[in-house]
Amino acid sequence: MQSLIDFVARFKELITFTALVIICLSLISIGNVSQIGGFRAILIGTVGNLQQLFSWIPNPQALRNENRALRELNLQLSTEVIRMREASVENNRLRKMIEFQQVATLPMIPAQVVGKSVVEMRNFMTINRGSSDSITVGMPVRTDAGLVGMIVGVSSNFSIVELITNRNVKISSRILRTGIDGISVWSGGENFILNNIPESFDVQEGDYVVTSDFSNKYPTGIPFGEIIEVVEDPSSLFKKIYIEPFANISSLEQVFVVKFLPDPERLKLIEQIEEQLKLRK
Amino acid sequence: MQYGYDRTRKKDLGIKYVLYALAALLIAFFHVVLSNLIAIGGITPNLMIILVVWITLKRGQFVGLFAGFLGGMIYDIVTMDVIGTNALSQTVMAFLTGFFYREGKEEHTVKSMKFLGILFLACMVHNLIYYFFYIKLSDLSFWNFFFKYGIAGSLYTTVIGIFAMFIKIPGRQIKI
Repeated sequence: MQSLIDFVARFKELITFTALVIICLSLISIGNVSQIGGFRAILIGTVGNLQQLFSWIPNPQALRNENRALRELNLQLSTEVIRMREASVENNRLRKMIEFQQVATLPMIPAQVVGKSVVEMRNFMTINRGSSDSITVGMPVRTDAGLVGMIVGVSSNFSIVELITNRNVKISSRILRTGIDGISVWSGGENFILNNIPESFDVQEGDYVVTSDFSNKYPTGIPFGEIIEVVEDPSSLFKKIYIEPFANISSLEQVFVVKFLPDPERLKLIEQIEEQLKLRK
Repeated sequence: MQYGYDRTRKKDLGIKYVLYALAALLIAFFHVVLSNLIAIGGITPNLMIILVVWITLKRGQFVGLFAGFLGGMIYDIVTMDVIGTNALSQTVMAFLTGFFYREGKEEHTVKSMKFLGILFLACMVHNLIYYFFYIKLSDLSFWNFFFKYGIAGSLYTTVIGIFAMFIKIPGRQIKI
């Protein structure tokens, strides 16, 4: 017994280290904190209140970015307005002609960004709307410019938005001009990469990209970004397409939560298939 | 007499551990609520690493292991990360940092340039492990990501770590 105590005392650091590593690995294998439902809601509420309390502190960098983005947007919009007016008149005339049904736009809830967290490259923001405004987990979030993220947690008065600049995010996208579909993923910087587009497909710099109807997370047609570079690699069958998102993620102040939830039947089917594939592995 | 001395010693030690816990909670609060204000290009310093390295160099490997584990757990909980990833990377980091602990020379270690060197290495170890789990199952390139954010984050944390060299907790010097 004494020798066992001596052994433990001698190697206490190593034994403790091994035990803690085993605990950590077990916790990692269990999964995400989102499984701790009620606790997470309390945490979101507390963090939201704290962030609102300190939201008066000005962030010069964010203001500068916002200012620059607004000026650029203003310039774009002023040229777009004229073009849009002409297009709108023509569109109305054509709709009447073919008795095209007016597409209903999804309702949106405006929200104020009360806090942002950049923690270990996981980008989140807190908004001042929650379950009392009928916001639920899974709703997409956008600005007037384009897609910014998705609700991942709600309390009664606050919600946490996971921004698109996140390694977990995969956006089912469509190139507006040609209708080519692909999956956009975060490049790790400010831009996104559209993968698996064959070399023969027509893709040009300046093409607009929107969310596609293949997405089981986002509604169709939310503006996403503009193609800024098309790299053709002779050793690959696919093009590498870089997209600059429309929304300026670094200077978000006002956002809109789109009251859209994916079809639960579709999600359930996808989950079932994923489970089956996991079991096969 | 000896009994009285032991009680005071335990009480002092208890107060110090409470101070460490409060510092960890304060850092977690700061990171979630205010870190955005000091972010440079989306990179923020990891203040919890500074605290864990500081505790390890002041109190030794054994205490450092618990500081790393609990500090990492707090981080995982408040940042809504996968529970265990920060705890694992900070536990391993504290274990390795513990080899730099020199009994009787604690003050010298944390108040010299050696502290910054150890802090930078600790950050690199932490980021290496953390980003391994972060990048896992994603399309990002691990080494690109690590060189871009891991090294920059380590440098930023090390710079902020300069302030930790001037920390002095009032009270008697207690060795475990």
